[in-house]
Amino acid sequence: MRLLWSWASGALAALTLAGLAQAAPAAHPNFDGVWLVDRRYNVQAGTAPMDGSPVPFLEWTKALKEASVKSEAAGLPWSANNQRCLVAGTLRAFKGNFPWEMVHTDKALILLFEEDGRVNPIPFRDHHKKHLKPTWYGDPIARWDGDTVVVDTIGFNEKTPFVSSTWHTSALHTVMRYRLINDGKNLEVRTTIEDPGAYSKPWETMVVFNRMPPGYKLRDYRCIENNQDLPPTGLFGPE
Amino acid sequence: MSKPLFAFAALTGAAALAATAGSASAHHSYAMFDAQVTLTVPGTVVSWDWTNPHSFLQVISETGQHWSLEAASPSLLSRNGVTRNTFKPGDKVTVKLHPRRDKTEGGSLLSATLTDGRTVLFEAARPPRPAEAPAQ
Repeated sequence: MRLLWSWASGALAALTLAGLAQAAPAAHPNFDGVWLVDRRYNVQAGTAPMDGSPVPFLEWTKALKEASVKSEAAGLPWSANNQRCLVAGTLRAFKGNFPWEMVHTDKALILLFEEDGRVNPIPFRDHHKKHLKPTWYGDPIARWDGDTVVVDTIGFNEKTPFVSSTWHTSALHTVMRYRLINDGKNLEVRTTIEDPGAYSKPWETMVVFNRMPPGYKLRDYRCIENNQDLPPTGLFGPE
Repeated sequence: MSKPLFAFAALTGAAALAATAGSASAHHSYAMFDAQVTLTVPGTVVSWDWTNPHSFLQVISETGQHWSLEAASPSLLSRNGVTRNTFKPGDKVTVKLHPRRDKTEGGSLLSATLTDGRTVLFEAARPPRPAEAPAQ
């Protein structure tokens, strides 16, 4: 009996360990934290391919960009969405002086922006919604690729330029790859931008964020409170 | 943990302070101000408007001009030690500013020096625009 019990308990232990070893998911990094764009990327983020090549504009997007650059040089900048207290879109919202927070759960990444307290939840899901209606943030879905979270987004409306005058259509498809670098002190986000209605080929941009110290909190910012900067120029140039 | 693509300098809070020190570029383009010109204006505080998206220091100059000087949002300024009580009506100040290109009496507030010798800085040196994408 003792031998039988010994055998049974040993077998049970072996099976249990095997089960745990199979059932235990691979550990993933956690992206929880408050992040602020590294200053070196504040201007470049989302506006230029990371390989140094020019943005592969189509003719109409190139014409818009050139007109806006000319207007800015003359002291009449075209307004970006945030100047009008509109949703800036994730790429634009990453840039600038405002921090943002990542809340990382096993069901979703939730991006909280200090700028107007906006929220962009990104569920871990393997399919986009059917019958998408275009929205400001589109329909983002996330999956793991090793230690990298890959966020695939379609379903954008056409109201959110990356920065002023870098436009897209509702055919926009972005793939954002989030990964921790530099022993977790920094978060790197590479974005592939694909939109045959606006660009002649896909292009990739990159932005890097600094992790803010423990206890660093998002504060209150409400653009509409006293916006005195509604510009004389419209989103597509002078009105 | 993955290695960084390229070596970073120590990414300390210094970078965060520089980023939050009050640049107007978070809300709109800086092109509305003439960054090639810096004016120094002594005057008296009319009001310190602690509002989003920009706080405004309203100053009457010694020559009677009313300057409306734009600073960053309270959320950004407060991280740099500026508060809603930093200025009061009647305070004597000397302000430095980049004036508006449209020649109206307004500008981007760079600093304000009070009679007790304190200088409040509003505009960290803006980062140089990278000439090309960072090295991979």
